[in-house]
Order: sequence, then C-alpha cells, then structure tokens
Amino acid sequence: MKRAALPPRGPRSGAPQVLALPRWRLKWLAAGWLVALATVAARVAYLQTPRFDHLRELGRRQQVETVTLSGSRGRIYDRAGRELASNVIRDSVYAVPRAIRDPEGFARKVGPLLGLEPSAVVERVRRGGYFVWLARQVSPEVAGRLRQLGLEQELGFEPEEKRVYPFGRLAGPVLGFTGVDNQGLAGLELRYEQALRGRPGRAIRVRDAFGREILEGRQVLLQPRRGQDLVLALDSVVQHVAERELVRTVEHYRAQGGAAVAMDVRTGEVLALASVPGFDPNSVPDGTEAWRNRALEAYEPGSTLKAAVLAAALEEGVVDAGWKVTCPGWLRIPGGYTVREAHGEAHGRVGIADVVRLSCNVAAARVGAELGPARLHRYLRQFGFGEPTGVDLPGESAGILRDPSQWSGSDPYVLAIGQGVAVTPLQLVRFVAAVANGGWLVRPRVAVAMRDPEGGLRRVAADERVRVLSPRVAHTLLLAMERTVADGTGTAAAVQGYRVAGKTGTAQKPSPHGGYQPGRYVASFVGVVPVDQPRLAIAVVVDEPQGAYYGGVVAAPAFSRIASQALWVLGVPPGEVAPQAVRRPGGD
Amino acid sequence: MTRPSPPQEIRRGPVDGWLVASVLGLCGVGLVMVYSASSVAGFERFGDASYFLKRQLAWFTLGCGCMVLTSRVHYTAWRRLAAPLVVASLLLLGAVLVPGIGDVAGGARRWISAGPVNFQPVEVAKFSLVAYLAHFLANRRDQVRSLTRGVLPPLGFAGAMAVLVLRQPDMGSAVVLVGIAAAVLFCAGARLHHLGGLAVVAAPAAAWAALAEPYRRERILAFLDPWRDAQGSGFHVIQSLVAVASGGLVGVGLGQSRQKFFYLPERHTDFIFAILAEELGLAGVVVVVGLYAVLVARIYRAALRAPDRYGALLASGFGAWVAGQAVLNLGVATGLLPVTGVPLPFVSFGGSSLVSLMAAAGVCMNLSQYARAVREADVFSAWASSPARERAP
Repeated sequence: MKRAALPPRGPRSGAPQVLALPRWRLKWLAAGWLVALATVAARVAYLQTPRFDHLRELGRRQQVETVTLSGSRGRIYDRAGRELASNVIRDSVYAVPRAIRDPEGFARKVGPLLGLEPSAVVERVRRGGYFVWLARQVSPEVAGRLRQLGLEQELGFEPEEKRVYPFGRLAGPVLGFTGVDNQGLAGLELRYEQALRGRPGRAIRVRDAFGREILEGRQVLLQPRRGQDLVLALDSVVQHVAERELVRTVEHYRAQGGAAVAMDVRTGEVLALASVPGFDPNSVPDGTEAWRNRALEAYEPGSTLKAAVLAAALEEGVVDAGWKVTCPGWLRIPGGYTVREAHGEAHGRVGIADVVRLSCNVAAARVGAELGPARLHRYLRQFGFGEPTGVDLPGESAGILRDPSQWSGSDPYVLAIGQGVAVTPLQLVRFVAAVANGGWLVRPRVAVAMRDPEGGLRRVAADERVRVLSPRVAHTLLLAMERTVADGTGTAAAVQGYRVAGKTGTAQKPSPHGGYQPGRYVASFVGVVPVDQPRLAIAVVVDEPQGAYYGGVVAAPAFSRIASQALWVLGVPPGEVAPQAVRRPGGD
Repeated sequence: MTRPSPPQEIRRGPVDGWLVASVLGLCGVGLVMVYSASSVAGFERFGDASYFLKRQLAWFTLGCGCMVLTSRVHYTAWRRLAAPLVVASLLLLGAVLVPGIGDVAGGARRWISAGPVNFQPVEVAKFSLVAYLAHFLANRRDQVRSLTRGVLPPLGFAGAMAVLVLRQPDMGSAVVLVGIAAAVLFCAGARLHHLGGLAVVAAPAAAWAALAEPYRRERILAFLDPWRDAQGSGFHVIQSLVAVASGGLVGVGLGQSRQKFFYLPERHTDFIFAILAEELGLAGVVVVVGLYAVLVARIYRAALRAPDRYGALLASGFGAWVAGQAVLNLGVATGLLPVTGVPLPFVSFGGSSLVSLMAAAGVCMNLSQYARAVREADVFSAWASSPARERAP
C-alpha cells in the first residue's frame, strides 16, 4: 500500500506547528469515539450470551405460535354412497384490536355485515391483543363484502372447514351436528367423533405484530390426519320415505311427534330411523327439545308388548296351540283393579293367535299371570327390554322394566298388556326382528363401516346376535302376528303383494302424577315384511294423534306405505300372495 | 470558484482511499439494510417492497454527486460559505416550525416538503454549524481561551439551533448539535475548566429539558427499566434488544428478520441497526462498527494532518458529527442510552441525512489531499496510516 505522492516530510523535529492546535485533544477524542464504538460491539456480543435468553424467548413467544391443524373431518355416506355429511371451506373472520384506532367506527362498518350488534363488536375489540374472533365460517358473500371494506390491517380471514349436510333435514336427528370448531355435538357426529375427527396436526406459525401469519413462516411439525369416513346402513331413499310418511301421519293427526324405524331383520342394520319433528343440521335450532330422537326414547307401549309376553309363554310351554280361554270382556285382578277390553266387547273363546290378532287384554293378562313375575321379567329382559340396545347413537334410553321384587300383585297382569313398562321403538323393532329371523336378537346398527383416508374399509363392529327364541316359537308367533294384519286389528298395515305380520298398540299416556291422561294416546304399529322371507322390521309410533288414536288406524297405514316403498327400493320380490284380508274396523 | 493556492510546503496528494472506501461501504450496507428493513412496510403501505429502497437510491445518487462536488471544492471555500449557510439554516429551522411549511410526522414537525421531496433542515444545520464553528474558531486561536469571547459564542450558535430543533421537538438532533459544538471547542483548545464548568452548569438545564416533557421523562424511565412498561415506553428498547439478541454470531440471515414485521418501530430509520444485528449477527455488527472506526479514524487523521487550523477544526467537527451520531444511535439500539431518535449515519433511511453527511465526507476527502507530513513521534497518526509507509530516519 505504497502511497504514490506523499507530501514532503519535514525534518524529524521542529516541524512547523501549522495547526496550532492541541493535537493530543484530537487524538484523545478520536480514541474516545473508537472506544465508544468498541463498547457498542462488545455490548452486542454480550447480548448474545445466555444471560439474555429471556429476550430471545420473548421474541419467539411474540413471533411464533403453535397452531393446531385440524384434519379434514370424515364424511358420512349412506349405504349407497350418497354423501350425507360433507365439508366446505369457509372464511372465519377475526379482528386485530391492536390495529383498530376507532372501535366504534369499525363496529359500525363491520357489525351489520356480520349480523352483530355494533356494541358487541366494540366490546370484543376492547379486549385488545392481536386476535379476536368476530364470526366463524361466514358465507362467501359476506366474506367478499368484508374484504371490500379496505380494512386490511384491522380484519383477518382464516379459512376453516364447515360441516354441511347436503340433504338438509334428512336424517337430521341421526346424523346430529357439529359445533363451530367442527366437534361432534349430537347424533352420529358425536358418537363417532374420534373416528371422524382424525388426528389433529401441529404447526409453528410465524406472525407479524398484528397477529397475521407471515407467508414463509409455517412449519408443520405433525401432519394432520384426515378423519375416517363413515358408511351407514341407512338408505337415504328409505329414510326419506320413512320421514315423509311419518310427517304426513303426524300432520294429518296433528300429533306431537313420532318415530319410525326400519331395520334389516337379519343383520340389525338400521335402514331408516326417523324422528319427527326433526331439524336441519345445517342450521340447528336452539334448545334441546328439537334435538330429540324419539326412536330412542321410551314410552309406554301398550298392546305391542303382548307379542313379547306371548313369546315368553310359548317358550315356557305355559300356553300351546290348543290353549283356549274365555274372554268375558273384563278381568278382575289383584289390587282391586279390572282389566277391560278396548271396546268393552267379550271376545268369547280365544286362542293364542287371538292374543295378538284381536289384542285381547283378558287373555294377555291371564298369560302374564300364569308366567308369573320372575319368568315374565326374565324373558322381557332377554328380549332386550329394560336395557339399551347398544345402537351406535348417543342418548339411547334403556326403557323402564322394574325388578320383580318391586312388583305388586297386579303387575304381571298389567305388564302383559304393556302397562307399567316403557320401551323404545328401537327395542320393539329389534324384538320383532328376532321373531322374524328365527329367534336371534341382533344389535341394531346405523354405521356399518369406516373408511380410512387411504381407502381401506373396516367394519365398525362384528355381527352380534343372541338366540332368545326357539325357531319353532318364533315361527308360531310370526304366524300369529300375521293374523293381525290378515283379519285382526292391523289390517291397514297390509302391503299389496307381500305377507305382513305385526302388532298394533294403543296406549294411554301415563301421567307423571300417577294414573293416565285422558285423551292422550300413543298409537303404534310394529311389524315384519315379508313373512315368508322376512327382510324388514318396521315400527311406527305416533305421539298424541288427534281425531283417531288406535294404532291400527293411525300407525298401521303409515307402516304399510313405508314398507311397500322400502321393499320396492330394496328390490325385495313379492312373495306368495297374502290371504285376502278381511277388513274389520281397527281396534285394539 | 477560485482556489486559493495551498501553502508552499503542501502539495496536493491523492484522496484518502480508506475514507472513500469506508463511506461507500457504509452507504452500501445502508442501501441493503434499508431494503431489507423497509420491504415489509413498503409493500404493506404502498404495495411496493422496494418503495423505500428506490427513494434511498435516488438520495444516494444525489449524495454521490454532492460528495464528488465537495471533494473537488477546496475546503477553504467553506470559510466564505459558512456564514450564509448558518443564516440559511437558522431560517429553515425557524420555517419548519411554521404550520403550513413544516410537515408533521410521528408527532414532530421536522420536514419541509418541496414537491415530491422532503428534507429535514436540521441535517443541513449540522453541516453549516461545523463549517461556521471551524471558521469562527480558526480565526480566534487566542480568544478561544476566553470564556466570553471564545467559548460562549460558538455554544450560542449551537444553542440557538438546538432550541429551534427542540421545538420540533427533536431531542436527538439538539444533543448532536450541542455535542458537535463542544467537540469543536475542545479540539480548538478551549480551556477544560470552561467546558467542564459549563457542563456542570448545563446539567440541570439538560435534566430539566429531559424531564419536563412527559414523553422524554417516560423515555428516561424506560431506559432505566424498560420492563416497567414493556408495552408502552419500554417497547422500543425491548423490541430492539430482542432483535439484537436474536442475531447470534452470524444472524438469522439477510432478509430473514422477524422483528421487522412491525414488532420493531422505526425499522428502516432510527432502529435499522437492530434489524442489521438480527439479520447479520455479531459478524455484521463488527463489520459495520469497524467501518465507522475506519471512517472516524481517517477523518481525524485528516484533521491531524490538515495544513491549517481551519481544515483541522472542520474535519474534527465532521468527525464528531459522524462519530457522535453513530454512537448515539448504536447506544440507543443496544439499550446503552435512552431512546433518542437520530439516524444512523450513511445507513438509516432518510435523504437529508445521507446527502448532508456525504457532502461532509466529500469535504473531508478534499482535505485529505492536502495532508501535511507527520512527525514520527505522532503515534496515533502512525497507527492510522499504512504500515508500509516509509518513515523518516
């Protein structure tokens, strides 16, 4: 680094003091500046020592956050692969309170678009911070209009999955619904929450001071796993038919509500499960009343239980084909009570078939008495009453079947005609399915399979069935029940071209204060079709019909319409033609 | 412009290459860091990530022109320009306070707009002050030992400017102006007990100035304990320290700063050093501080070797300006000094500062061409000069 043209150097000493300045001061000042600069460098080095880890930690905490990545929720399909529950991407809107200078003005602009009171928006904004939800999963139109407000700093959008149910109200109470965080809150959504939800992932998100994500800054620690799809036994068309006919019946009789269940007698697969009034899971009404699933709620069944009592008696040999009893129209029973026939008529000599065909109360009560409390209770229990069926839906009632030790002397008579006991429509269907399939009590099932994201299909549960009736007794009982439709109380349940067996039920509603409520009935019909090769067990229960209240009048026609259309949908061929029905006025 | 012939024994040499290299090096660092620190805000506010870079580049170009010009103008020419410059500066400093002329930004009235160009009169005032004080004190090599005739008048000029600047308000620039005056007086030979005594007298006034304004009091308190109000007055310092501490040895990488995403206020202006430290780490800090060290050393070398008293005082004034402002800025960014907003010389975004400083650097470059011979005993100069240099026997 040789300098080319240095000024001529003066002699070693005695150089002219041209400057006339205290040279040391300049040197010391310069040295002072250099020391100050060096101090800064040293300070920077010092700030890198572990002593200042808290600063780095503070930086990380404000810049980085761990976010949960929810895996796409599994979809729900019916047995034909129709999508009953799916997902769409919707924008959720949040505010960045730190960026909002004028909360009132902000609220006036944003509130109306979101359907929020401006005061509510102000209240949220005043909480401060960088993030506060304003509305979740808003419609694309609303999101678009919000984006045009020019509030880039103040508003943020986060795409989220929203659950949608393409068929609207169809099977609402069965499917249930999800909350804003896509968590299952009712129905299948709740029951299969674990499988549907999948495994959430985790990511590190780098955000700016306003809480907005920095584009480059997301680092996935754990990939979310999609939830499993659910394949149901439910058939949308059968479900639709069941709902339509049930709604029609409920409306026609101005009833409080109703339930209908259709089950495959061989497997326990639930083809339709309707509850009226239902709801649209896309916009769930407030209050739990509308969320009820009446197919899983217990009610006092009345005569439909006679079939079960008869089954127990046949199984025990208490009665046989030749058993006869005289019905004078009434029967005095212990406790000073009297069992009467519905129309007060005397049935005369009745056999076992007449217990179901004519729904003879006197005969049924005597059968119950002859069985006695212990055996009656044991069999009803065995037939699945008094305990949940184990169907894969939440909130199922066990029904009420008291322990015999609490029974009074009249209870065996009374239970035999379906009083002092409560069952669910699903329990009834399951019992008649056992009658139809040769004596096997199956476990009703709504979902049959789960499909993992890779496409692998897995059965939800193995078939589970218990023999509760001998094939002989089951067959005898089935033929007796066929008489109900052929020339008994349930002729309106007949289906053209198919043999139908069933049992009507008309029960006065018990009062919570004891006794029964005058004028309030539950009309029901539970049946099997076709008798020669049973496929479907169907129950129809109508709560408080007005104008008519017999099961054979109110519920049986709905059964008939549901059954005939379901058989057609399922492609069940007509069997041998049923004996010509002898039309009789419905009675119980 | 007629150039007065230099004294007989002085021949014109080449411009000090170290001086040029360190100035351009700092400017280069500045452009890169302005781009990095401002791109987020530029995109957010103007939809253009290089919005601030483009402006800074334009100013840099203008600054280069000024630097070339002043490096070719003989430094003694500023003796004649000093008085008009000071008058003009005072007028501008007064004018900027007038609403309608001065523009407000960040709560202070600091800018004068002329079309698309904004400039800060205080940056011109710093240059003028140095030029004028050097001129004033060069003529009064004996009066400087007198308090009334030598010490107080220069402090009076600086004080007048500082008072105007404080009205903006701009505490940092006021400190720099007074500091420059004190440094030039010190170099000119003012008696130490005069300077020390004045400092003792001025201390209560300075304390009052610092504590009377609530926002300044907050800043002092925040300096003593930033965590007292981490979301309020301590916010700047804490966010700056977070950035600096996050840098480590080599930084998080150029452009990779996270603190620049609106956590750190004044990212591309007063706190640009924090972003630099975060992105380039201790290594980058050492390079930048080293550039300042070289620049300051070469300016004072030029002062020490200046052929006349005026040149020496001029260079030492510019040296105090660059060094003082750099130390003040770096001290604030690293939490060593209370928060005062001064730009980092040659690096921070801001055209007035860059152009004024480059003009001053040009003056120093011109001066460096007329360097005298150095006595061998001059240890400092020997350190500051090239080791390969030939020494007198």
